[in-house]
Amino acid sequence: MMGRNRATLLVAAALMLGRTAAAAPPGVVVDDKPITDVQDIEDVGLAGLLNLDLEDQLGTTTAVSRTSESLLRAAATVSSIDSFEARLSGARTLPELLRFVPGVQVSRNAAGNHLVAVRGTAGITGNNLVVLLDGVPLNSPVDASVDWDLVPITPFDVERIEVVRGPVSSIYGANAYAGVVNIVTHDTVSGRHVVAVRGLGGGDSAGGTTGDAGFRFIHNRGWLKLKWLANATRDDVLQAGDGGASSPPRISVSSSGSLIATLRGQHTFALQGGVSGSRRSSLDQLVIESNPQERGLAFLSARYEASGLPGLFDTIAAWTRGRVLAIRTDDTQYRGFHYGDTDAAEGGAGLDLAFDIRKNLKATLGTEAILNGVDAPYIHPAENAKLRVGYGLYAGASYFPTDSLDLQLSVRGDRSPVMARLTPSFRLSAVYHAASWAVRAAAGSAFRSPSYVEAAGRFVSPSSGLILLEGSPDVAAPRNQALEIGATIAPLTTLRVSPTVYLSRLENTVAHDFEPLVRKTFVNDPAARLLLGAEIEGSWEAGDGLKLIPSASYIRFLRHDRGLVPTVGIPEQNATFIAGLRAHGTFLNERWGYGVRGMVASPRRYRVLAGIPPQILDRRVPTTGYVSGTVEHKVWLRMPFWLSLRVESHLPHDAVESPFPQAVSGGTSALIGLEYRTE
Amino acid sequence: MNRRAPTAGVSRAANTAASASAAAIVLIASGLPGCADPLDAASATASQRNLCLDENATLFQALADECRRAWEHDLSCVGIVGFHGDLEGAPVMADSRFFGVRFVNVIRRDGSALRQQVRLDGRTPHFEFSVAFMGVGGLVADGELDRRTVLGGSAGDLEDDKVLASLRISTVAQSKDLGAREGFLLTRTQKEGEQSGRFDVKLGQARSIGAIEGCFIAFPTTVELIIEAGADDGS
Repeated sequence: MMGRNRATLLVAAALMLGRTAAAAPPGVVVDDKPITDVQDIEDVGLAGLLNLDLEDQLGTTTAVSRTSESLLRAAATVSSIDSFEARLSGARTLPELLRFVPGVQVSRNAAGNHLVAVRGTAGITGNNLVVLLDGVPLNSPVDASVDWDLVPITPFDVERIEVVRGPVSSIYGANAYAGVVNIVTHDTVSGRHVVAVRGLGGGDSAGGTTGDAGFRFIHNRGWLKLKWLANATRDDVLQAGDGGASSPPRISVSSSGSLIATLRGQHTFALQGGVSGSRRSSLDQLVIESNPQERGLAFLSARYEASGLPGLFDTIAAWTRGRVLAIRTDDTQYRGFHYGDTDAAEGGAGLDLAFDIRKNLKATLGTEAILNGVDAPYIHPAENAKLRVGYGLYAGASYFPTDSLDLQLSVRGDRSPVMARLTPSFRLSAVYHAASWAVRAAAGSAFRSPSYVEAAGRFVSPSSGLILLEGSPDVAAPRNQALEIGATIAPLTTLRVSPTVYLSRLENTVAHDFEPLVRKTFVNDPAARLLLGAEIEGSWEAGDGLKLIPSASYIRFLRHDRGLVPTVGIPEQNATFIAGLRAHGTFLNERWGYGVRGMVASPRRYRVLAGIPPQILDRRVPTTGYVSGTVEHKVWLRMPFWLSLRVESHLPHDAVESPFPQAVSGGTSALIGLEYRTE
Repeated sequence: MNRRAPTAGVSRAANTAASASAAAIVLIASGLPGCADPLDAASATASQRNLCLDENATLFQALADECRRAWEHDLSCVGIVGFHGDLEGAPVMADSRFFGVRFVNVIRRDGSALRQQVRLDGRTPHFEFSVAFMGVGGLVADGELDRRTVLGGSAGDLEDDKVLASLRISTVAQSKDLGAREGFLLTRTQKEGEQSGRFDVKLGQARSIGAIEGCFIAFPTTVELIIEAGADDGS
């Protein structure tokens, strides 16, 4: 059987690319060493066999500059998770998938309710990231936080997730303070269509039941691409951390789709939309009671792009998009504040131009206008249900003085709908790359727009009529300025290592000035924070279809003021050290697939003021771990079904990794089910 | 990347569109800043008036007269207060009606009544407060007067010209007592059904220090009588 596999690998490798066919055995040379034995081929892997250099192996990304570019030459640190790994990860939610990205710290509050922090910007607000679904931002129009349960896809639907770490506001505007998560949904090649249906059910260690169901349809006719995804998830009652209480069950349904038409190979029209609804725990920075809360998100985006233009212009893109968010809850269940009766919308339109000025000089220019409005009981009466205008202007240039050196500069000015003034941001990078290695130096400055809550919130006690917390329009935008040096080295064609070191200065962090009784509000913390971090990620194709991905990250705050309690950048809220190992692969002619992941995070402590009226949450989070995995087996029941067993465990079972008293503790869940898919 | 060679017409159209887009970006860039209004979300504190300024004396008097009529009619207004200053490091400005006023009078053996305590309960947009003046002194029947007393000291060293004062501020879940450290109370009127005056006081200790000055007129919702031994309260 093994001999047959090797022969298959040889034939497949030879047929897959023309360049390989031309140089197919005999006479294949990799790393100046002739291939003489089948074992050699397995040792060098497919990439080595095909003589792909590092740039080809890494592929491309759109996450850093919003245009397709080589991942090796990208101006920021990017980690990517592909569809194969996502499917076999055992993760049922996107945040659980992101746990293994170095520099990312994930805390689970409740089923479907996670906090994702990047590079030390921990905290309990979760609005320091821009999250894009096929290029469309899904951050909340109220406070730019990310409700991961409303992102209308699951790890099953992921083509790849790219996580850009570091300040990139000069590309994405306000809130790309700590990074960007770019989610690209499943795709297929021209001339193919994909249908996938899955259903899984199981239980958890707290005695609850759980289940996932999903549907995916993709039709690619080359010039026309249709995509439709639908998902439903239910998690039963999970055990809450304190006092044996239980967290509300989670029910989540979503559907999204897109239609992309490309005419004459040059003109692309894309229409994309989605709707998602979730009933889950209300735990939040300002809502520290865990009651069921219904949330709904709908978005729509239209984009036209003309590419490959002659002359100075390379591409022109015009786009418009909008999203609406609604939150409802039973207000009789709360003693304190809740987000019920919130309706919010954000829309925008923009123009992007890309120029080919010279062979070694490219430039971009763009602008966007934003309309935003929030109708909620906790917004200042003068600003409630009022449409506000924001705008952004941006430009960038890429210069290639030699074949091996890329220099990039991007600058941007934004005035978000709630900001008082135009706020600049920039990113500058230099990448030197060779066939098997690259080094990158980058400097960036990014900011986060104050949220509606921070700038124009007014939380009034329904019983006393007193203002419990008031936003301040004078709050300045928090800023993240970072320097980083990174490298990608491939000492072997099957082995790749990407270390990064960075230094971040966090200024104007927004603090909850909850101490004075006479007026509780938000202020900028005058003390800047300085943190040093290091990340490393490896990738080793170990043969027999096995791929190993180790990763680790380290954070150390060099300067920190312990006075006010800011929303981000608190050493105690960060695990100093997080390490993980992922492995996935196939065997027996790909009839079996498997993925195993394990990670550990060092202890940390939350001591934060939260809730309205505020209270101090003080929780020590011990060393925590997370293990997940999937085994799937292809079975033929007249059609190609995959029998799948998925296990996910948060360890230790009695530990709570979130600051909230009613957050869920660890536990294990297991699901088994069938998936039908046509590819 | 394979690019299909565009036709001349497409090329011209594309370049025209691109040039128009570039012009649009410039136009939008110059026009958008004008559309963006500053945020109109001033603190509720900013909507409060300083009733104690000389320029607002007429306003204060009008509000006081209106409140007195309402108190006489149905107790729907029991007093007004204005104060401003700094508490716990935050600026405060209050322009408020009291919701509770309590006088404590001492009936002496000769039948005269001394005002012993005045307690004023009110509310600002952000907190509720309770001001207590103890050992106010002076006859209830004094009527119009301008009596200046010193605020501060402790319960043990009460003197005729010294008034013990405290401010208690509270929100839904928290409260804090701030004792008067130094200052003065200028009593303007002191009648059976009225007390008015101005105050200027430093409060609190350590981190809770603050200073406020203000003016008030109060009509009682409760009058408590303390009968000296041998005195007749007249009831």
